[in-house]
Amino acid sequence: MNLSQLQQLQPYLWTIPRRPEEKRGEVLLYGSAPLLGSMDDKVLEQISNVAELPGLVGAAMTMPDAHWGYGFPIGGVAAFDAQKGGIISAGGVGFDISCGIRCLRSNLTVAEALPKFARLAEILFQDIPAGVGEEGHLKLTPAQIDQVLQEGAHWAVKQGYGNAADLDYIEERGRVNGAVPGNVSDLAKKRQRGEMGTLGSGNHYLEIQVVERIHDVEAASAFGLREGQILVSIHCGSRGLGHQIGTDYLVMLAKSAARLGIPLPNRELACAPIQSAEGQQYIGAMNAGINCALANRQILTHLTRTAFAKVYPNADLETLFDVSHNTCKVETHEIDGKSRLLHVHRKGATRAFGPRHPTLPERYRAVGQPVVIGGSMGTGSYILAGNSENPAFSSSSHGAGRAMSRHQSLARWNGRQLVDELARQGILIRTRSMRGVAEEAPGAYKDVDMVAEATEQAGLARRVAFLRPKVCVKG
Amino acid sequence: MAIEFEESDRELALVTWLNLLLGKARELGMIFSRFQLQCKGNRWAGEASGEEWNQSLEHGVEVKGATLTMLSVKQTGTIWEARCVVDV
Repeated sequence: MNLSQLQQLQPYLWTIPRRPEEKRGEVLLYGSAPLLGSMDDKVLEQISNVAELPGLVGAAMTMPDAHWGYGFPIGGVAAFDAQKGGIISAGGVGFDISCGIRCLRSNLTVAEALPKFARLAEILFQDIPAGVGEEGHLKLTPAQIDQVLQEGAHWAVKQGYGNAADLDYIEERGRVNGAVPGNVSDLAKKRQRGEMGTLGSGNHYLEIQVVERIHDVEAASAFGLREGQILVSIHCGSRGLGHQIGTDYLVMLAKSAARLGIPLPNRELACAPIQSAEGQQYIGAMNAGINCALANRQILTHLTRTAFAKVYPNADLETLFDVSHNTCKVETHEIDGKSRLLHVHRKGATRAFGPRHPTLPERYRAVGQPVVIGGSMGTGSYILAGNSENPAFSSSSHGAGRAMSRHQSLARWNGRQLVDELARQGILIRTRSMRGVAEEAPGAYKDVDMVAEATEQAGLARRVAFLRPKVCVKG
Repeated sequence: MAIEFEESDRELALVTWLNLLLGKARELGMIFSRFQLQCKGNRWAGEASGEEWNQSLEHGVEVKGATLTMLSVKQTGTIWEARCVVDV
């Protein structure tokens, strides 16, 4: 991206100057000059298009890890007011509805755990269904799937997957209101029948990490983190059900926009007014998809605990937090001194409530919500904490962001060689797809240190701890 | 495996066709490798055939769905070109 197209407002905040004839809303891009310079021009085009959608409140924004996606850029944030004709967009949520990260903290230190990492890697690889075509151990009936879609992680806990204490540390306490299982197609439910408790593929992973560095002592203490501690991060979403909801509604919303006379700068921004029948239908299905993802990560948490117990009988894994990064949520935000109810789209962006937010668990209320920025399997990840003065509807980056396409990665790297090289660095990779490893090569992603630093400097969230990967089960 | 649907917009028909194939492939546990698609007016009738998933197949990345990004169906002479971005 040529930065001469942009106007720098602050060291980590940029905008695209508007020409007098342009009717779009404001666009704000968060990030450092190097991060923005490495972004594709299509990010600018896509976020500018989002800024033309009706009912937009404030600016259409990109996070420091943004890259181009479909409709919205990945790392895109936009809030809409239903009372002002605001829209809901499936492209502003993503196909993998409520993809996110469940982070667990353990009572183990790296010194205690290291001697058995190889065995742990094998047990996790054996016990965690991962990869294309892999099915889980659960086979649900249609009625059970409807319960999952309605109850989210609560359903999983009732079935014995994890415990009630987990729920306090999941967004929305593990279940979002407004789910309408009847708005989810039979095909979506059939696809999900064997996919509960599965990791998926692509950039999904289950990673064993060690806290290598503490940045914010107070927040780390509140989060129960200390140097040398073993953590687990589980990155996955709503699996086939979420994907099918996305595809089921994509064409419908595209036609809805045309039928209702919503001028779209590009048809890929398929959307409908929030208060329209189509908009409400999609929202009901999306909320069902969110609950599916929350239940899925709850089941995977249980499977992880079971695997750990086989290797470390005294291991205790508690949920640090569960964040989602492909959602549209109804939230109250202060705009010009007034409280407004907004539909906040976060496509590849994480919610990051600051200190004293009433929805936070008591333990975290003084320091803010935990946020996870997942890096690549060869570099590291960050735990951050939300800020009170977050300027982006309490939104933050979600990952390192891809720096090149999968095709480019495949041309540059060999999966087997990568696995061997990472093993020499002390990182054990277990996967059913060497091609997938090549596509997910550490070099295919942006510098996670730069993304985390820019996220902090932009006021979106502040760094709490850096995590180094030790074992990674790849989908 | 047969698929039928109605769609007047050729480009949206491409997205619909691809997404129905993806959904059915996952539902049935299959990989499709041979395809036929015909349209009469707004009605589309397609067939897909292939083999069941098995561990011997190369595991790539899962396609979540066909999107409307860079969507184009156009004819140049006797050649049709259909294109879209898929989410993986």
